Amino acid sequence: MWQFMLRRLSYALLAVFVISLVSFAVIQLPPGDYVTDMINRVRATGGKVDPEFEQRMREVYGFNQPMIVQYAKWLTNILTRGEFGYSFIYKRDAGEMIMERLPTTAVMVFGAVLLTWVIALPLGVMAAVYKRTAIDYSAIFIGFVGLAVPSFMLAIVVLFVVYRTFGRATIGLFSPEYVAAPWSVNRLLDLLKNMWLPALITAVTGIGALTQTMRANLLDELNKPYVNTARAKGLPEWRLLWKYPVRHALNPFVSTIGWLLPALVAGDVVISIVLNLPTAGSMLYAALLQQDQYVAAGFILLLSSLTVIGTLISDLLLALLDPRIRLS
Amino acid sequence: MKTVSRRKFLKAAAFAAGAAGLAACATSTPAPTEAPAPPTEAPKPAAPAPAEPTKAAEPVTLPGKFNEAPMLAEMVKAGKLPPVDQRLPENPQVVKPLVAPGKYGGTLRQGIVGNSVTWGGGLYTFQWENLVQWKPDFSAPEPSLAEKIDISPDGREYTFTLRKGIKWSDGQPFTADDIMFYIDDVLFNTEINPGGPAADWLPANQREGFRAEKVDDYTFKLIFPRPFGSFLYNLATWVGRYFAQYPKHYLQQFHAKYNPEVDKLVKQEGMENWVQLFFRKGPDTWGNPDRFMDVPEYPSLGPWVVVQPIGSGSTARFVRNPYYWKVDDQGNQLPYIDEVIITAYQDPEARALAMLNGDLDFIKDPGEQNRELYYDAMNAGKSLKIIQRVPEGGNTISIHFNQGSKNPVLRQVFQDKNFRIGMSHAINREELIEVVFKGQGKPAQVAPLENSPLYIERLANQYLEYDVAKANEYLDKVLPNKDANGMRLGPDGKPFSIIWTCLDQTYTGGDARAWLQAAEIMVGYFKAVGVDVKLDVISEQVLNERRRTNDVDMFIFHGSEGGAGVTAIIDPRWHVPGEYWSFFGHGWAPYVVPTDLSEEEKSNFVEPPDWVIQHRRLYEQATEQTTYEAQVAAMRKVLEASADYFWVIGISRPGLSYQPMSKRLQGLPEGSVDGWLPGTHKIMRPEQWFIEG
Repeated sequence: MWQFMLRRLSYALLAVFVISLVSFAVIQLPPGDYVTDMINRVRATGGKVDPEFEQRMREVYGFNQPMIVQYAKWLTNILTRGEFGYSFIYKRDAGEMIMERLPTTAVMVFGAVLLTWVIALPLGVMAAVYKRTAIDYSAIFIGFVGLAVPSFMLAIVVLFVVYRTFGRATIGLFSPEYVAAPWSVNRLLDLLKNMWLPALITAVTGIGALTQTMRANLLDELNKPYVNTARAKGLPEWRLLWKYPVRHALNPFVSTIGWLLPALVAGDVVISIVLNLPTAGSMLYAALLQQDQYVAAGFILLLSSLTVIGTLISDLLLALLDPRIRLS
Repeated sequence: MKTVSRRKFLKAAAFAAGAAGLAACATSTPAPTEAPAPPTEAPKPAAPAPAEPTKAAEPVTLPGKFNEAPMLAEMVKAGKLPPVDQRLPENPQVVKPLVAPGKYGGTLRQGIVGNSVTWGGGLYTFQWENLVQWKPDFSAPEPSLAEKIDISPDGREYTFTLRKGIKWSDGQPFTADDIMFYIDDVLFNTEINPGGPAADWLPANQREGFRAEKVDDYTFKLIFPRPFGSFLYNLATWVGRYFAQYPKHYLQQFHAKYNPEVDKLVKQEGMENWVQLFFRKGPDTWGNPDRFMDVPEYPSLGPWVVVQPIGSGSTARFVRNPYYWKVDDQGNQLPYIDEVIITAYQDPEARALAMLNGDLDFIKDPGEQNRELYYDAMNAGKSLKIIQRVPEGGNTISIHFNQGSKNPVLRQVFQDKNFRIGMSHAINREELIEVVFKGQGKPAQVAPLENSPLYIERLANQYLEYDVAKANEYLDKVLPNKDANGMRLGPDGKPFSIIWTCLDQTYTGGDARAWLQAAEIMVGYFKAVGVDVKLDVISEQVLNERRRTNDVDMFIFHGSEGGAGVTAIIDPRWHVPGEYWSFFGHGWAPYVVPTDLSEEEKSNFVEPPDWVIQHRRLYEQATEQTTYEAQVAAMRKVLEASADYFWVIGISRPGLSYQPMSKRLQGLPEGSVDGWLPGTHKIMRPEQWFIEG
């Protein structure tokens, strides 16, 4: 067991290292760098930028160094000083900025996950129990519509409807008076009040797939002998259902928790742009657009590391539960 | 919801504008009798820039005593701030209210798109303090930070006298030392600028031999090697702000010349050398105004200073600068508004919704596509009002054929004026105006506006009619042979096809969406006359790569800049090759102006005929003229020649631009000139805006 854990841990570390390298390289793939972007903006305003100056700025920011040197510096700073580099856009430490965005993102993401599960699991169970009935088909229909309609589109439609009906639509996660306020109970309540809509929109996309997985898993379980045995022993149908097969059907969900976070953050990008949410997604998008490379690389590294850690944890848990995994 | 026909409404608005005598809009359309009342007073025409520049504004007698905002009066009482007459300069700049005298207090809520407060609009609200500024009617520069400017008769020596007693936002005096620090210790410092002084107010041919001289604490001289008659126009645009961006008392701690201990700071901040530190702490780009939006301790000369940068959130907060050096004509220290909250939106539509919600008071660039939305909302009784402005730009769209293309076939065709004339006649401008610009404006080529002294009728109106037969007639002179499908063959006998480079929506400078929409329609027009054009939509980064290798053959961009007044002298991009956005002559550029291209890169470019270089020189002569009359005469020569060459194809004169805002925001005049060169909304003097109710 220890050997297994050690092996998995070293794989995970290696994965994080490779991810850090790849994420840094990917940021540098598009032509140009932050200096290009900065100078474009100056030019768009009618400014005439001297080519020599552009070169000079590149030296100052260290963009003239080979990628690998820049990468080494970046990684060393993270490992030795916990510094993620400098945000060119905000003139601040990139790490600080990322950390400030994570709480709202976490609240949003967990809210969305919770909503997805609360809706999708019962729906999946119902669909499986009443398979090939109107309930099943409606669940499939709802799920597929959710899957097919792009979430940003849904966001726009919902905004439009809310604006038409109530005369105003909430943009952002906070009411105006709380936007700049420090964290407090009231601010948290305000966040929850404004959060349900974006969380629901994010959730809708995930519901379809999750409902279908649940339905399929549960159908597999329902035919197993232990279910028949339990039924024969006179256990009430619904209690039986929740106590055994649903639990078993849940297994795959637990083991994929690690993938959930990055998927949700990625899915949240467009919605957070449309709804102007101060979450990680929109910041990552802006950083990529404006070539704010340390913010972008830091975000990608952090999110990917979370995936790796999540997967590692679920692996270890599964290994504890199931000896077959450990040995193979 | 009240149903007022939106089309009718827009027509009425457009008519009101035309009736105002604004030549650009004065079509012969008869008055629609059923027109409802226009939403606002008709704008006054933009002044044509007739006056001799640099004359001081007429003197205003101020009441002996100055007033200040209640929030500052409290701080004075508490002993936290010196009294108002000690904070103001001896001779503060007087801003006459453009609409009505304002009153103190309130918060301005401004919305931006993207996360740069500066480029989203903050630059013009907080940081456009120049030695000279545009008069509110954009007719000429007038003294601002400098109260007096003397120009030597040969146009080489400019003597500036600063207002005595102007203070930075931290209370330290703004003097000639700050200017000298900028010029001697930054611009001409060989460690900071090893390649020589790079500043866009100092043209390449003026660098060698330029110097600055301090006369006394409030007087300095800028001495150019050659006459530089158009210098003050330059200074009034955004390049003039460099002179107000280098607080020596603050920046010297990061400068090796003034701080022998600078290496300690370098280490402490984890930098490699002091230059890096200087750029990180000071103006980290070439006078980048972002500093003033991001760093609270950086002293500023603007009306509001940042207290909470945008950081990781989506809002930034600015409060009034207690040392702001402008007053109204009653002696009230400006600005009127206590604080400004900037909210950043990632998406223009989200910002539009916030504006409609009533969450915002002001936005820059509301977007042509939302025009009807705002008018509808206003008609539906939302708390919104709209003023109209006169676009500074000469045209909505410019279409460029790179006459220095590295493809010899394209080059030969593009250089033939008949080809460009034919393509111009192939365009149905009325339809484009209807579809893309919501019926606003009228067909025109890229040229200065009718009321500009540089207006040349021929330049504006040649080859405008939509006439397929005529287009074919001209194109037949260049590309007579066609294939079986009626598509033209090149002079080499192969199918003739052009890749049309367009910018995608991420372009930072303007409404790329409208250009793309127009381009998609125009591809059809060109096909109808047998010319095969294919769109290639790319990001600005990719464009920059292609620019270096001369891989842009056909390009679409705005046609703005250099439309109103004599501004074509400072921005001749549509009429003179060698400017950054002059894609019509891009392939010639390194032979026309100094370049940073390597010899290998330069081999992708093409040497132009001698007359092209002569044309550039003709323009440079115009900038050297020392009197207004001579400038106009010289520049008219350049533009006459441009009309002969027919460099770029234009689509239409823009209609009036519209500015939505909340009803509580007051003080913005109707009909001001709108564009980069006048500083978008800076020409409306944000420091004298105020909040009512």
